[in-house]
Amino acid sequence: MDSSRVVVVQQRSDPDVAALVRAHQAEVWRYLRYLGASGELADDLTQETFLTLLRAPYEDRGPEARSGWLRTVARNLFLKAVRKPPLPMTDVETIDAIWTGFTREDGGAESLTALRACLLELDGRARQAIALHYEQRKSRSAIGKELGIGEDGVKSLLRRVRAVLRACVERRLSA
Amino acid sequence: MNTDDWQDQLADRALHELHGETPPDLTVRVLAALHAGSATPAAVVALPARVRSSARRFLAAVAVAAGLLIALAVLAWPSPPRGQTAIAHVELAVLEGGIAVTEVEADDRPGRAFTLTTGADVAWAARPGDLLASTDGRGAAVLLRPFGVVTTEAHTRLEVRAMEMSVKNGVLATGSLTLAVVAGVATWHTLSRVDSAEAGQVLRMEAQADGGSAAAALVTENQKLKDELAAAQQRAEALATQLARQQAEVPAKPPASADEAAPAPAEAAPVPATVTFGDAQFGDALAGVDWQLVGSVSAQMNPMLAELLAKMDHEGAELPMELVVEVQKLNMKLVEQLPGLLKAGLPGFGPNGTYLHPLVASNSLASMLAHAGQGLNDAQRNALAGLVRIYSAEAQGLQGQSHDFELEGLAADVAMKDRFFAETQGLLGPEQAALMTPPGSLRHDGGNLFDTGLMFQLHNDPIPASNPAEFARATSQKLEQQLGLEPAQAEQVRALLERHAGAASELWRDRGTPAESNLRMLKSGRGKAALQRQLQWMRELQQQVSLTKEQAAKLKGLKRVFVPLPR
Repeated sequence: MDSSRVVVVQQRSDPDVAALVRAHQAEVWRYLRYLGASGELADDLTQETFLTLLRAPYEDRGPEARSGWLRTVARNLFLKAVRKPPLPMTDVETIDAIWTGFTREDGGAESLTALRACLLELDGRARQAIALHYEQRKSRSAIGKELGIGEDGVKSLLRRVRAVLRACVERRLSA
Repeated sequence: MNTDDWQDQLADRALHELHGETPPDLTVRVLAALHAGSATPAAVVALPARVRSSARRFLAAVAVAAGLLIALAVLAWPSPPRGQTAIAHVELAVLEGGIAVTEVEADDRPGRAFTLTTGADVAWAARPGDLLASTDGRGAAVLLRPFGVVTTEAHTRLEVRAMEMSVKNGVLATGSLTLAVVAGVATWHTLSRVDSAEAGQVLRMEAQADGGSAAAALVTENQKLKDELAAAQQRAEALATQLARQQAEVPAKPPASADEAAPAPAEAAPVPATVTFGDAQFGDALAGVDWQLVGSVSAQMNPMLAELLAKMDHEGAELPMELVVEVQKLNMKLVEQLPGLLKAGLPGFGPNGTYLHPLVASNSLASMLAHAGQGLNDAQRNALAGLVRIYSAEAQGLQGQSHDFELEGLAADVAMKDRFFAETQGLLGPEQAALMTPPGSLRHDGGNLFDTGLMFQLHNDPIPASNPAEFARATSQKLEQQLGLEPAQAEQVRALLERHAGAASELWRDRGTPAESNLRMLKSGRGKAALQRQLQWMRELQQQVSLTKEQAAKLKGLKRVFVPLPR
């Protein structure tokens, strides 16, 4: 073990703690939302995740290991909060592989930029569905009325559009 | 969920983020929680989000801002030693309605059940498993010292779930109390927030910074002042004896000059120690209030509320916690005076309705003005006495009225008191009026102690929303739980709410401010406009949605006003 890299985070000063939180909070919060936490629960559990890190005897081995540690704590806290049993390891690996594919090395900023660009490529019904659902936050039934389809149709349409956007993002990131 | 589902969920989250749902900056909150010590024992990790977040936010902020380092230690929960059970010693005062208490059997006490009604004020040793239930199909308001006021909707049942102990100045005290909501809705009110929990959730209440010790501190302070007064009287008597002896020995002085003989300038009106505006029916209850204390506290607190609003009235403002703690302490002293008035049956919608009853408000005002050296003169006192008589009679009349919805009672009481305060203000000189309603204090509900916004603060449920559809969705979800609606009914309610919210342009004009979201002090008029609109949609809901008898009763008893807070 490289002892020069070991930092007992508990002994950090306020500015150190603040820097640590700022560096990772968005990623932890997004991860919790991705797992299905509501905004408020994500706020709470993000706080709890950092407190766990700051209070536990934890050896810091750099940003990447820290991110993984924070994700594990956040996931466990989330499952406990929603009273669900621990996930099988294969599921955890799947979830985290998709997640790290999105966040890459910048916490997801590049993926979001690509997604923003991909949104501009949408047109017609796809663009309208995204606007109604994400911008105007209309319910599926309201969107269905505007588009002349049923609620299940709206659900399928949105899912198809998201698949198109995912493919577009992957294309842009690999370019 | 399979791989594709997770990928889709991630894309969904990313799209939400691009459309405004961005991660918050939690740095300050984490630092505050870190400094506040362990606020969450492992046993309560599964608390609902909003209760946990706001409770911790307050505890942390209070601890940091006021420097009150309360060492929280989980003593006997969740695994008490054999033969020892966690007990929270609380004082329970019923401010409104009735509460049935069912205590579980323990080694040192039999199980028992008793009911407390308005005005009851008892010491209670709460244990996990004890039950509290609102009685008579009505909601209740209970002061749980040292935690603050808890209000319940009708048919609410609460179970004591857990408590944490704190050691403060070497004394063991209850630091927090967790109540599980078995049925109905319960709300914990403090100055900086309102936490609600519905059936299946829990309400975790932190002891207030001053809270339960306020009464004891006042008694101690009172005794100290009495002792000082007795000592001063003894000294005065000794000096008088000495002076008489000296005068007998010294030849008489020549007559004083005209200037020296002139009477001293009239002193400011003394602070009334007793009732200024009396009433035959409620005389005893009014006499039981310490009006000097009320005047002194009001004189300090009223400008502080205005200062608080001024500091919060701009984008990005953060809670000035030292000020919040001070206001909270003063507020607790006023709340301590309430049980006697409530027990006497002084009419008013909710505890704050009673606090703003013309008899109470006028005596508070008289005492506050005298404290500030701006006491009422005889003409003002007589004119105000006339107003108090007229409006007290009107208040009594309102109490006897029946309504289709409980909230109609709030609207009527507020309208009456708004007129009373406007007329009272008209009797005052400019300096007095500025003390009653400090500059800027009228912009928000509860910006001063003579404002019907105080009544709204207990009943408002602000819903942050970007548009009417979002408001309708969030509100219908709450109603679905509170009224026990079926999904089809909830959808009908949502559509109805969306239509009403869309038509209410007055509710969407101004964006919510930090004072509204953090202090729940809504811009003046917002709560009233929302209440009027809500009464309309409640009537429509009653007519158009097929409700069961139980659902209809819950709708009738609803005491929450859902107020859109435009984002």
